[in-house]
Amino acid sequence: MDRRLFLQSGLHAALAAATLPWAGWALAAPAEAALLQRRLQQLLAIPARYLQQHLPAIWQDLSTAERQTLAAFLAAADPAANWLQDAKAGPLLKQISRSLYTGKSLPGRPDRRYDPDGGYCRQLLPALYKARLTCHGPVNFWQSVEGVA
Amino acid sequence: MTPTQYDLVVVGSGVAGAMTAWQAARSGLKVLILEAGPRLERQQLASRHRASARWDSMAPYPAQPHARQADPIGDPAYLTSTAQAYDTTYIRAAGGTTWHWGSASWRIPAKDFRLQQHYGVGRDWPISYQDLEPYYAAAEQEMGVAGRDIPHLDLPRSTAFPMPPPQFSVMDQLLAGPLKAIGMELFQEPVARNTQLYDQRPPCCGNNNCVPICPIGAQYCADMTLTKALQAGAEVRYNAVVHQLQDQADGNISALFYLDPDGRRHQVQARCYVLAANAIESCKILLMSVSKHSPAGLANSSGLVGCNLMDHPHIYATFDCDFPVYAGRGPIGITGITQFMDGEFRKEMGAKKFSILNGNQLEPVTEALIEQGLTGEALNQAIRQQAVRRFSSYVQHEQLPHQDNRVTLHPTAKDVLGLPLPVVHWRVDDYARKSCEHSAGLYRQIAKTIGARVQIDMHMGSDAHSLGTTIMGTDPAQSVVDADCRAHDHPNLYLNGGTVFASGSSVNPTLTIAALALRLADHLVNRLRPA
Repeated sequence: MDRRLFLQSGLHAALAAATLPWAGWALAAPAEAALLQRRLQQLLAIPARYLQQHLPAIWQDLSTAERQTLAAFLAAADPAANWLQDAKAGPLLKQISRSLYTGKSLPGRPDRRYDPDGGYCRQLLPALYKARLTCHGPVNFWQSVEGVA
Repeated sequence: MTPTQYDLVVVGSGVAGAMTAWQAARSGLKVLILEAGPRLERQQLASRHRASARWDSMAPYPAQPHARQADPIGDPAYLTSTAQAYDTTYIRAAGGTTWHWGSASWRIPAKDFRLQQHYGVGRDWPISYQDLEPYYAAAEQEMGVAGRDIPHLDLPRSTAFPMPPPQFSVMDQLLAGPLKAIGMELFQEPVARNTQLYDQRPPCCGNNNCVPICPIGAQYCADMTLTKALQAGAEVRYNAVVHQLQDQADGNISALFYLDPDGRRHQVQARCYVLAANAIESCKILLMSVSKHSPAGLANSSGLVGCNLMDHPHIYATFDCDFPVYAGRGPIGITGITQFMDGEFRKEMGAKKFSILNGNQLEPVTEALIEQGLTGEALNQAIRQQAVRRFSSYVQHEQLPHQDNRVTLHPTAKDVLGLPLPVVHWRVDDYARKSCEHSAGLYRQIAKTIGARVQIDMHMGSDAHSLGTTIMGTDPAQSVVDADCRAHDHPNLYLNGGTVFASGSSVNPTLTIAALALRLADHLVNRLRPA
């Protein structure tokens, strides 16, 4: 194989691996993808990188009807309003927010964690906490907050 | 071919069955263990837990149709007849429910064996604390208990604790002073969770995940004793669901039958039989074993098999403090309040034990704030603020034995093997209810003292401590087994576990179950070993 082609294919593979979850979803529904991500970024103070990593799995668990409700609402929503309070789309947006913050699957779906590390809320804990289910580390660290509080 | 004749068949491989089988096998008896469920692997359970949205005690334990487990969220193994929730959990697998326990390893205080004598309520045991003390010491050794003496409790010891207690968390240190000022001293609860390297198990490194699964095995699980029993020569058959024992005219049990997951029936014979399948499943086997000699089921001439079900009805409190307590660092529970485990008040209401819980509050706080409609940076700030200021606690209460709190068999509802489902009839009596209400008042006093807001959940549900359904006593008309755990009606049938407790006390039962199992093993070895 040509050396340049070889390097290009390697680069494409690496890029695909890094962006596959989001890219797959974006290809399936590009307008909705862009809209949902943009609106969630307006609604929640979660970094774009975290959203890109975990939103596709949540989207895949939504039904067609839920996606349509969401898309219609988000397209017309007042950017200044708190959409979680909306009677129609609010409950679903709360569920999605809950899934992003805790990593837990949407209600009524098969039991899973979209983020086994415990969702975005774990990243809000002070550094003195251990990561979720870290199977190693010091003992008796819980005696003190010296140096980590 | 002549079937193998065992000295002993043990049904169930939880802490009761594993302890008896281990001690009997290493004393030279030929032992067979029949376990209704499979063998589990810790690493797989930890992975399942990590991948699950559920956080409850049964989440990582796979449902198994042939041996249904008590999972109130998933597939309950039993039915209930009463409005009062009986939401117990138990695991049917090698090691039993010690896979997901909190590892509290209490001795029952001496007075609690003589509740009737001291306070005129409940029943007295036919054995005393002193009878059980050497077995408590042996059980602590095997399980690896970390603790320290609690001076005001009547718990005399012949040996030191195998390990020092876990260190107080920052939260415990913050709460200890104000609580002591109102007469509630915090003590480390004795736990079978390593504070140092012990019995080839690592020390706890604070995964805050003791329930549903300790990912590193710092916490004791009966699967560890089962492994030793097998190394000592015991045999085990997994996925063997015992459904019948056969009695003879002289009362002796002559055979035991079990079903495999495909419903095929197998027979086993032994000189003695031990049921250690927990307080619900053991009675179910007895009640299913109807014969012309025992028309109401085995061991049931008194009519008391299944009766006297006790648990530890509990209430739960959530405290929101004005200062950070950092709950969620370290094991899920370290300290408790023991001032109300004994006193003259027991003539009127049950004893109780408070536990300060150290579970991480992040998820419940986050979910509540999202439900309130918080968004953006305000949401993040509120999570940061509240999660480190919240902690929870529960109180477990003593309950008296009552005949109408009982386990029966459903006349028509059956599992996939065609075995009847057990039905639990349970209500919280005034003795326990009064104590629960008193505890709520104490919670409000604690909140005022530490300057916190408190929410109290008067749930009064099961604490997954099913006790008393084949109650121990000296009178065959008033009890099911004698002081040696032997069925009054059957010379070679024994009951093992919480099912024989004559009183529930206010402490967690597992260490007493282990001690009784080791005492039973001594009795069986003396009876069965060749001279």
